[in-house]
Parts: sequence; C-alpha cells; structure tokens
Amino acid sequence: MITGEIKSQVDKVWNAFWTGGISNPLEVIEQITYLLFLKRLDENQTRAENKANRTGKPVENPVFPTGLDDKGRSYQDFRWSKFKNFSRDEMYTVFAEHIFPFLRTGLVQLANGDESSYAQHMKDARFTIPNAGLLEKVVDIIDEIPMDERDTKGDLYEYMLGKIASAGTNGQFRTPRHIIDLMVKMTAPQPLEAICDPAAGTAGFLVQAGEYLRRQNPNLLTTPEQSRFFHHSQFHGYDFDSTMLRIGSMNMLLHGVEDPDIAYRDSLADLHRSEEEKYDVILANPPFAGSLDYENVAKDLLSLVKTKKTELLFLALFLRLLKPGGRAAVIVPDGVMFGSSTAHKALRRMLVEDHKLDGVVKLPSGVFRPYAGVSTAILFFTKTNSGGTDNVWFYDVTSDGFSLDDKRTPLETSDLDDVMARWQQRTTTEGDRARTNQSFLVPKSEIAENGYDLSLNRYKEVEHEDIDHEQPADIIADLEKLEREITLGMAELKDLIGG
Amino acid sequence: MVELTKTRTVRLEDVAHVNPRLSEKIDPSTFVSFVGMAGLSADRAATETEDALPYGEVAKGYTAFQNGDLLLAKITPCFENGKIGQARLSHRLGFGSTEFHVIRPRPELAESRFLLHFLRSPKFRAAGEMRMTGSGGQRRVPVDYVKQAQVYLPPLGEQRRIAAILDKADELRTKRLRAIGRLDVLAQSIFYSMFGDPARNPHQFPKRQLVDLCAAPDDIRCGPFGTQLNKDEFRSTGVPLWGIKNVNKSFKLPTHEFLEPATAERLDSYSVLPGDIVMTRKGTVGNCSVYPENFPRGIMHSDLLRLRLDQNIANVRFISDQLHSSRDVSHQVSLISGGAIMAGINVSKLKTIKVLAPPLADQNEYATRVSAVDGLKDRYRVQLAQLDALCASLQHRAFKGELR
Repeated sequence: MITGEIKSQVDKVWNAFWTGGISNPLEVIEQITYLLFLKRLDENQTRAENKANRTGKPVENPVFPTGLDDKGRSYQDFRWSKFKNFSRDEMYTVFAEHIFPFLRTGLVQLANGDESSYAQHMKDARFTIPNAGLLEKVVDIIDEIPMDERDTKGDLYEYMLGKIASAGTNGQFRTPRHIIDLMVKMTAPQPLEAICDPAAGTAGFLVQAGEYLRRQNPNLLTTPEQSRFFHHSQFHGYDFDSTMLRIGSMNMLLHGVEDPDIAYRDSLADLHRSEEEKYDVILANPPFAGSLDYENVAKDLLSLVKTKKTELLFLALFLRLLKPGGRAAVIVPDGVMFGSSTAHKALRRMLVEDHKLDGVVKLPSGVFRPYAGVSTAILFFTKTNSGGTDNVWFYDVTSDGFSLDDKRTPLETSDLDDVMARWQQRTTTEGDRARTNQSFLVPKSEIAENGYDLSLNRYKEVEHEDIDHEQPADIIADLEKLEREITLGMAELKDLIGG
Repeated sequence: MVELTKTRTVRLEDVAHVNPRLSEKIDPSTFVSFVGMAGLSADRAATETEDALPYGEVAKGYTAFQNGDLLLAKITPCFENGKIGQARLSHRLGFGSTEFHVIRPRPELAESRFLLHFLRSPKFRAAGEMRMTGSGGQRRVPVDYVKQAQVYLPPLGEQRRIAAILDKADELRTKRLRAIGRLDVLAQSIFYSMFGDPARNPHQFPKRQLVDLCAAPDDIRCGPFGTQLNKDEFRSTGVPLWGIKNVNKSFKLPTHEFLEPATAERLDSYSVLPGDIVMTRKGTVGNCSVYPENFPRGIMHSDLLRLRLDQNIANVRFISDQLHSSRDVSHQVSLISGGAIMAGINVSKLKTIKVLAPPLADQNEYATRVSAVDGLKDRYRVQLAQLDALCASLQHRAFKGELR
C-alpha cells in the first residue's frame, strides 16, 4: 500500500497539473506515464552500460544511440539523468521538439528486434504539458520518488489510477480493487495459464492476476519457462481507447511484467479466428449499456445471441475466447440474471446447459458508487461445450467492506473473505446450507424449471419469524375494560360539568 | 401584578415564562431527558419518548426545559398538526428540538393544565397559523404571538376545575381512539386464530393461484392506459372513477372524478362492481379493498388492479384481507416485481400469486366475524366524532368564560 511521504508526493504532482491547467485526470495520468516511461528507459540503459563496462562488451540494444538526431541534438540529452539538470526552458524545448518525436517514431525503429508493446503504444504520444515551469516541477517531484521496488512503482500507479473518477462514455468504470482481488482469488490463475481481459481499461484485472501468481508461486520467475511465459505470453488485454492502452500497459510494466499483450482491439467487432479458444482464464468487467455500432458487431457473436446489449455480447465473446476447460469470472448487471428477452434467456440457457455455471455472487448495488448505482453480480463459469452444470452456488454479498453511499467509507463488515472461504467448500459443506442462508446451492433442474432465471431472490427463502398474535379473546377483554372506563368517565364528566 | 381573585383577560407572558433561559449551572455528567420532535405526541398532548443523555452532550444547540413545562412545536407542519403538549420527563431537566417554544406557567398565577388546553384550543392554533412567518416550507410561529396571546384567566381554583373537565373529556376521547385501534388488531387476530400465518400455514390449507379462484382469466385486469382514457373526459357527475387514494381509504373517501355513461360503457372491461377486490399497483403497491355492496358500478384508473373472484370458490373479504396483510403474499410480490427501484405488479404476475384457500365455509365464517368488528368500528367512529365535538364545545365555552 502506498503511504505517507510518497502519497503526498503524488498528490503534489497531481496538484501541480491541476494548477498548471490540465484537469482531466486521464490526461494527467497519460503525461505522467510518459515521464515514468522515460525514467525507466534511462534506468535500463544505465544498467546495460554498467554491464558493458564490466564485461567489456558493447552495450546491448541501446535505446538512446550515440550521435545526434536529425535536428542536431545529442540522443544522450533525452535521458532522464541528463535532462533533469537542464534549465527549465531548455528541458521544455528538448521535450517538445526532440523527445516526443523520438518516442513516436525513433523509439520503435531503434529498439530493433526487441520491440515491446510499450514502444508500440508510444506511437501517438502527445506532449500536452503547457509550460516549462510545470514540466520542471513534475520532473523534480517524480525524480525524488524512490522507485527501485516493483511494489512501490505499482502502488504508485495504482494510487493515481484511483484518482480517475470519470465514468467513460462507453459504459466503462473502474472496478474496485477489492472486488478484482476476490475474482482473481476465486478463479486462481496458475503459472502457464493464459489470462485475458477483453475489456481491459487500466488492466486492473491483469495486474492483480500477476500479483496473485507471484504471491502463490514463489518460484514463478526463477523457472525459465514460467518466467518467459509470465513476461511474454501470460497476459492479454484489449481495449479500443489508446489512452487506456497506454495507461494499462504502463500499469503492467510498473508491476513488473515486461511484455504483456495489451493491444488495440474492438473486442466485439473483430473476432479473429486466431483468438478463439486461446485463453485459460478470463477476468472482466465488460461495459454495460455501452453504445454499440451494431453493424460492426462480429457476425459469429450475433449468431450466438442476437442482441444490442454489450454485456450479453461480451459474455458470448468470452465463451468463444476460452479454451475448453477454461474458466471465467465476469461482472454483469443484474438484468442479465433475470432479463426476459430472447437473447437473455438464450444466453443463460447456454451457460447452464452447454457449459458449466459454477457460481453467482450477488453484489450490493453501491459497489460502483460514486460512478454508478447499478446493481451487479459476478458470474463464474467454465467452458465445457458439453454441459456439466450440477449445482450452482449462490452468495448474497450484503457488505463489501465499504458504505454503499457515494462516500464509500471503509467499514468493518466485509463479506468478501467469507465468500472466498465458502466458495472453496461449494462442493462439500455448502450443500448442507438452507435457502435462508447467505449462500446456498441450487440444483440445475430447478434453475431450468425457472426459465434459467439466475436472480438470487428467486431461490432465496426468507426466514419467517414467529409473530406473537394476541388472542381475540384477550383483545375483547381489553375492549370491554375500555368500554367500562368510558362509561364511568362519561358519568364523571357529567358530574364535573354539573349537568 | 395580576389580580388573583377576579377573572380577567391577560397576556400569556404575564402569567407564564416564554422560552425561559436555563439559569443554573449543571455538571456535564448529570443525566437529563432528551426529547426530539418525534417524542412529542399530538394525540396525547405530552412527551411520549425520551432518551437519557449526559448534560455535556446536549448543553449546546438544544432547547432547555423542565419537567411539567408546556412545549409547542413552532415549525411547519408540526404546529399545524397540533404538536403541543406537556413535558413528562423522567429527569427534572429536559433538552430537545430547537423547534420547541417552551411555556412555563407561573404556579401562583396559572394552572399548567389550564394553559395547555388554552394552547391546544382551535382558536389559538388557527390564529397562530395565520401569524406564521418564513418561506420555503420553513414557516414558524413567532415567539411574540405566543407571548402576546390573550388568555381569559379565571382564579386558580376555577382554572383547576375547568382543566379537570377538559382533561376528562380528552381522556374519554383518547380511550375511544384506543378502542378503535384495538378493533384493528382484533380483525387480524381473528385471521391468525382461524388460519394461522400464511407464510407458515400451520393447518396445511391448500394454496391456489389467484387466477384459479376466478370464473375467467380476464376477471383479473388492470385499469385502462392513458391513451384509452383522457383527462378531458372526466366529469363532475356520472359513473365514478376510482384511484389509489380511494382504495387506500377502503372506499370511505368519495371520488371527485366521474365519467359519462357512454364513456363508461366503452371502458366496461375496466369496471369495478360490488364484491370486486381492488388493488393498488403503484405508489402504495399491493393495498387491497373490497368494493362495497351498496356502491354503483365504477371504473378504475390505470394504476389499479381488479380481481373478480368466483364467489362459489372464494370469499372476497377473506382473500382481500390476505392479499393486504399476508407476509407470504408480500414476499411473493417482491420476488415477481422485476423493477430494481420500485416494486410493480402486473396482471400476469398477479394471477400467479398463491393464497391460502381453506374451505369456503371457513372463509365465509371469517368474513362474518370481521364484518361484525367493522360494524362496531363504525359505531365507535361515530362516537369518536361526537366526543370531538364535545371537547371542542367545552373548550370553546371554557375560554370564553361560559363553562360554569
């Protein structure tokens, strides 16, 4: 977790941008991303140079070549360690006229052979810091933040992402970290399993999956095969917003993944045959109610479910992308669970009958506040192509550890640990739970009978407490007593008035 | 100084302290009574609920009073609702809402019960309403109105005599009101003693879908959509048109909307006839009433549902009461109402709701018993109205000096 000093440093950067005239949080993060990227490039090259000095061999794949660029400036001036000592105006000129053209074109060519996806994402990098003063200030602050540790870098970036408070126009909003964490733990990705988020955004799911893998497998990166897979083939994220891609891939990089596959793709539009049945794990919070270019939607998705609802199309897409035996955890809006359109029913039927629906975790409706008050659930399923749904496990989350208003104050009543604990017992002791419990199993046959309705309330039973009802005789005795008192009182009143 | 032996008209501030200051020093850990606006009951003319809090917690920002003081809610709508009563506290000192005016009668001059009846009299309250100031729903009775209110004040002994009369009349009224409340409970109690809680169904009665209790599926209908009935078709006489508020009041509230017979003819499939169960499907979802026997044929608004049961199978009063108050039914309603924000019932969903269906003879017996309760309740209500009139008459005379 990011704390104290660093946090206040980041807030300082943030405020510097704010007062400097850039107030769109996405843009702030984008600009910081470039700076962090430049700092990293310099550190890499310094390391390579040190190694070259020791071994006496030439520097391997230098990012910053010797010599001058086409405007006559030394490439060495592009290095963080160099330009940070320039005067503010000189630094600004180097950035605007030399570094950014280099990031856009030179970098891709120069990183010969070893071209990583980061270089790819810099192709349309734009420098929008408005003045030399702000640039100097930001470079100074970032320079002071110690970033030797992967954790620090990652947390730092994460902290900044937390500041993105704008819901996107395409139905995207940030999934809270603790919900991501739960979904990753419940799907438990393993080394050598390909993980995909086709609606990646800032790549929060992939980052968290990476952290989970490191935590669970201490030997992960010391085993050559696993390490190579981890850095180059394990993580796949798609989005159609290039700013998000840049931010997402930087997030991965700062969390220590060298070459993740974070790529531009309108997941619903171009469904490549090569992508089909490629992934072991899918973790996603696909956009709901997003705007959709219906004409452009891949035809084979529409052949599965004919709908304009993005949440349904994404579910259909996931079934396509998963390997047989692959598993998914997906956040869906409530409507998916009980919607009565043909597409809704067909999709639910498909999940239950053709594949294996493992669990439904109903979330309280405030989870996505303050972005949206939408009511959601997490679906857990395994692609089998041959059915296999047996009992579906339901859990009714009443608290995710935060208040459900716009403030989202931390509380001490989180159900999430219990969700994880009971999930692991879903084939054993969970079977004994009554329908009045917070979690319970529902047999497939019953779900089929209910038209594949997956809303938890359909199956949950309310515990009826006994109500004490007074006996009619007691009430009548009461009434008689009141009646006598009234008669008596009437006489007294008559007396008092003297009538 | 006011003369103590003769009757005369005085200003309230001459015989009572209005909003007296707390003059003594109190230890912050001393417990005092705390009374919020909700703690002052208009019906009982007294404080009803209080919390015990250390003085330190309420010392700032609240109104101070003492046991026995008269409290008067000054803000809209509490004043209009008659929240005027005596502080009956378990501690000597009380603190409460800043929206109270506090009136502390000077015991050598005025009897507090007498002043309480004065403050509650229609004349004082009506004039107070006229004098309220402020805007935006924050209208208040000014303290000057209270201070300068003209009180017709007889000698202390006479005040006590009058207060005792008014107290007694009030007490009779309260008891009558309580008796009516008990009758409400009695009806439910009869249901449970005969059939048990439908959610548990201890006597194992069969359950049947509402649609199976009708002669034809179309006997369960919802009102016409807006396109079928336009506002400009409303008339001031003719065939009555019923809405949510009438159902909520068990058709005791008359309607002001009517239709021409021809319009009603066109909308005949949305008619309500005596013996139909009418249910609200918006706002107060699921409230039910039986359309009374002696009423003419009416038409329902779009936000109502109608159930015309086959009376050879089911008793309307029994089913209506069950729909209205069974936890089992409300649970079923919450399951089928898909809307995430507001519950809503539609016809096809209503048809599938299951209710207890005991033998018809038992249902009829239930209806007979609760009608007896209803009859009694009606008579009590008439008597309550008479008691109200009596209280008003006594008050009126008392403060004009005519109560001898």
